[in-house]
Amino acid sequence: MSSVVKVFLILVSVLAMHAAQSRDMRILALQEGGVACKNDLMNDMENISQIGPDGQEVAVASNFEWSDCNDGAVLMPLGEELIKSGLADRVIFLPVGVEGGGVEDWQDGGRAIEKLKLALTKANVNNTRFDYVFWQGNMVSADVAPNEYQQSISKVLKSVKLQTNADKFIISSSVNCQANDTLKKTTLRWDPLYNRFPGPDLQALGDDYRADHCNFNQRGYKKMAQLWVQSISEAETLSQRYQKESVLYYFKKKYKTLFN
Amino acid sequence: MKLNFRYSLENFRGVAIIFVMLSHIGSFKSMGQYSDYLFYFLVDATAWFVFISGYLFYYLEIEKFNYTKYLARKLKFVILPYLILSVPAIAAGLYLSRNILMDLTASDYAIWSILTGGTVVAPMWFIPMIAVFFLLTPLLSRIAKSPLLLAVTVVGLLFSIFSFRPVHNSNAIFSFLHFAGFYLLGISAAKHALQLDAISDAWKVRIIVLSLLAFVLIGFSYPGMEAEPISFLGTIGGLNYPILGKLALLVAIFFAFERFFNVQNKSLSFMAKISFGLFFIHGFATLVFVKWLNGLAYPGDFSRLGAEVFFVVGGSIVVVYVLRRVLGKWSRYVIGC
Repeated sequence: MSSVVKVFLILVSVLAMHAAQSRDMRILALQEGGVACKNDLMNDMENISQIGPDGQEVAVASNFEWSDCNDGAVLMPLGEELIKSGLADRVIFLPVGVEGGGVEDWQDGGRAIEKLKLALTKANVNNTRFDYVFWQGNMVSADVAPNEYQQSISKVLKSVKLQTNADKFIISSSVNCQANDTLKKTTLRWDPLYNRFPGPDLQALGDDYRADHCNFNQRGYKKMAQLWVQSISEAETLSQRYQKESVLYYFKKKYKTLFN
Repeated sequence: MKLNFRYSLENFRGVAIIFVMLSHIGSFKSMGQYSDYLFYFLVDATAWFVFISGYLFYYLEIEKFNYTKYLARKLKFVILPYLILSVPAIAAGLYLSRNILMDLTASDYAIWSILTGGTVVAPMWFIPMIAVFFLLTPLLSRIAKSPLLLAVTVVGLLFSIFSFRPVHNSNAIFSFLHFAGFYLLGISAAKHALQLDAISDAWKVRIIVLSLLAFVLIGFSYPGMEAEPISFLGTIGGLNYPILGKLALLVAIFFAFERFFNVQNKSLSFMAKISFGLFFIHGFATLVFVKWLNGLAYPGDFSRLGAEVFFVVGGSIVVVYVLRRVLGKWSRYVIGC
């Protein structure tokens, strides 16, 4: 067989493999706390699934397997938005959270962190690789000192990175939903060399998007989903820029070349 | 041309190292409304160090410049201490799992840290950057002797003012480009030292007052820490308020010290002599404070700030002093002073 034919066959097979591969996006959603499930939004949706109790993919159902369904109302429209935008063909969520939780539940011995450990152990059985880890901040009524809050979340994100295979982290921080509007807004900075990037700004959504001071309405959830998609796109751009600037990109590229 | 020993420059170096150490005090960022002003006041004093390096390069090296000997000396007293102190810094990074957070193997993390300075001990990035200056001294030497020096300096300074440091200071080439203007300014100041000396005292005072005024005005326009870009790429053209402020303050301090403080000051002289060691050691002190002492119950933000300043600045001076006594003539090979 001539080399030209060989090259042609290799090209065809590579293209065929690429076409056959659906772009799966796996998202570990760490839900700080919040509201109960919105059952009407949890109906079966094509190409959106979750990681079940044994680590296998299962259909999305109410409640989520590893979460008390907090912010489930954001994840379903988010899955749809990701597929609609062409960023993924299938979206697989692993939402973890406890109802009524707060950042303290994510510290050592807390309800949420214990649940997370178990969920990641199960996910690791199938060598699940998460494309994104979301920290879904919450609309809380208590004021949280920004520095302490950031340190607490950083600790959680570090423990996730050490326990599982995760690529990028997108963090939407909590806001004090009952705080005076004139209070200074704090934008937390996340370490881009650890692939940590800021997520949607919960404070930016006004009354039109809220059922009350501390809860979004349906429109708010859809808007939040769009903002998460936007954050993903921004994180992709920024990640490449920072990784190249810091030379890390070239160190990691070596492995990609070796293993692909 | 041979100039007398410049105590003013030595005193400036002593002040610069104090600013550099204070700029790494994390508690300043928790001082509410004062944080932005403190940040603006303290950050980027590294530019002064680069200026002084440029000044000393011209002042001490230019007439008898020998590239090989120059590099050999820098290898012994700058790069070797850097490599030695990189060992505990890299070990700390591995202990803190930084390699995993960055998706690097332990060996790649070590190589990356040496190339960039790493992220565990904040000031280490300076050495890879200053090594770029060392390597480019033949070029810098030619520029220094060229009639185009002032024009190149102005272009370099404009670039410094309209650019920012690379992300986490992790790219020595970009850091070099960002700070090169200050190095060239140092060379220019040394080359034209006699002309600068000849400026009348009245004019020097006017320059000092105007520079201080500019520093204050730029400070009031400063949009704050949160607006600071964190990378070099994609931000060129944006006004770097702190670096512009530091340029204004540099001019003020340079002339003020020339005019009023060109005498030996034992404290600043000591700080200048150990400045290189302090540059390294205070990074470790900052790390220790952040990891183990920051979480203690302090009565308030000011007491935490006081404790951190005492620990980082005071502790670093003590450690460098002790290491110099213990290591004797070897201390230059280990801590660079």
